[in-house]
Amino acid sequence: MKNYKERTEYIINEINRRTENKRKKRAAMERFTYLAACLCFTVILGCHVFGQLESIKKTPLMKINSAALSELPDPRSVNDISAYVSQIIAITSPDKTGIYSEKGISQAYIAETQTETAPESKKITEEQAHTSLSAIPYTAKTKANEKSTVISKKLSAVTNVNTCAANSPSTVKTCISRIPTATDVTNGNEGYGGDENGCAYDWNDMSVYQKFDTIVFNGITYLTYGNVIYPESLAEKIGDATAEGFDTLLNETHYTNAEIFRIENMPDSQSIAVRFEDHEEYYVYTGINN
Amino acid sequence: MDNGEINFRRFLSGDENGMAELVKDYSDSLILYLNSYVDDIYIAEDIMQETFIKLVLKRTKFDPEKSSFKTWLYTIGRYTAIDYMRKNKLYKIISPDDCREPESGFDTEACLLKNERNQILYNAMKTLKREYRQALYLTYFEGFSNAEAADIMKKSKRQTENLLYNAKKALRTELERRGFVYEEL
Repeated sequence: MKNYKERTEYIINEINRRTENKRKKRAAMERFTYLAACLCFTVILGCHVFGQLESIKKTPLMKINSAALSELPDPRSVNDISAYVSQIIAITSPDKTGIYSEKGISQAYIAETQTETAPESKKITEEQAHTSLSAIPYTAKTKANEKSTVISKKLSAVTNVNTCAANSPSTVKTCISRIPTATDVTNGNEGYGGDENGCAYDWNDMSVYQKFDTIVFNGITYLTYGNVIYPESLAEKIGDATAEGFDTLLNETHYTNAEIFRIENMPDSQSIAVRFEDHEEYYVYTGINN
Repeated sequence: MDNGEINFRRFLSGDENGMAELVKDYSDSLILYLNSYVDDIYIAEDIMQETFIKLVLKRTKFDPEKSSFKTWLYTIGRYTAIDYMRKNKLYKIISPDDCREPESGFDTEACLLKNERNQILYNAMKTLKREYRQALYLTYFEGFSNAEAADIMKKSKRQTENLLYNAKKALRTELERRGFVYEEL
């Protein structure tokens, strides 16, 4: 049997030892928890990064077979534009799924090719094909100025063909929207002669106010949005003018004669009415120099 | 606040003499009580030390308003002894016929008892059932009330009273067999 002193020493030593063990266990558990948290964080981060890399790998970048592209016929000699576009897509899309992809710099300049036809005419007629090809000179000229390669000209000229539904349901309007090139982006020049939808209409299919939307009279430039005014609201004729319009597709300038009328209770500098030659409507033009 | 609680708090505040006082005051009696469970005075001594260690490491459970320090100490001692018996499979059912005669010669437990009367009683109690021994030890040797003994043994007061009644009866018979007469029993 132990004496009191021995018992006391044993008890105190044992208490200290167990307390120390408990403290060490707690510290080890804290370290383990910290390491486990770090490991989990690393794994999650790794999965995230790896997933990003995988998604980038899966994103198809457009590879253009230059040799095959150079064998394409001249767009101006093509009759079936849809077949020609299909041919382009086949060359530019390695996985045969299309030329679209969401990421990558090269995709930024891939033109969107879409065909929308009016319900009455599903087929692209020869006339429409001709209409679309009429844009080639403009595009080619622009491209030449930009010192682009011949291959890129062909590609952009054809892949940017948008067949849009026109105002008249009975016709199909073929519009050209040129690819914004690197030069355009650098110069901030992203306009290319079309409307707000990126379409440049054929001259003959446009209304007269669309053809001649700007008139200069008595040193004042007037613009119209196509609003028509009744003859009862007119005061008197104040002069004649020659309106000038520019065909962005054919790169031609057109002229026509117009009569200028004063609108009742309206100063000339603010608004005038214009009647074009061979037309009955009086279009309201608003001065922009005010 | 009794003396045991004061010494206990002294030790908790860093004074190791507090533990020395506790050991001096309670260790012997606790060993004898625990011996009634394990029937081995050396194992009882180990359990006593383990009891004091648990006392410190699980001090948050001590509620001075609920029980005295001594009651709490004996309760922990009892649980520690039961844990030990469970781990070492020392639980056994002992019939009165199996109760052995006290061994002759040097008796270690006798050293822990202060006077001859207690030694005679303790030796007579060894032949009794374990529960009788425990109840008698708590009330006769340690001076616990019936309620405190019931609290330590985790029995109801009525159960403890019945236990004590039967224990006294058995002890009286044993003492008479040995030629002693105790009027207070």
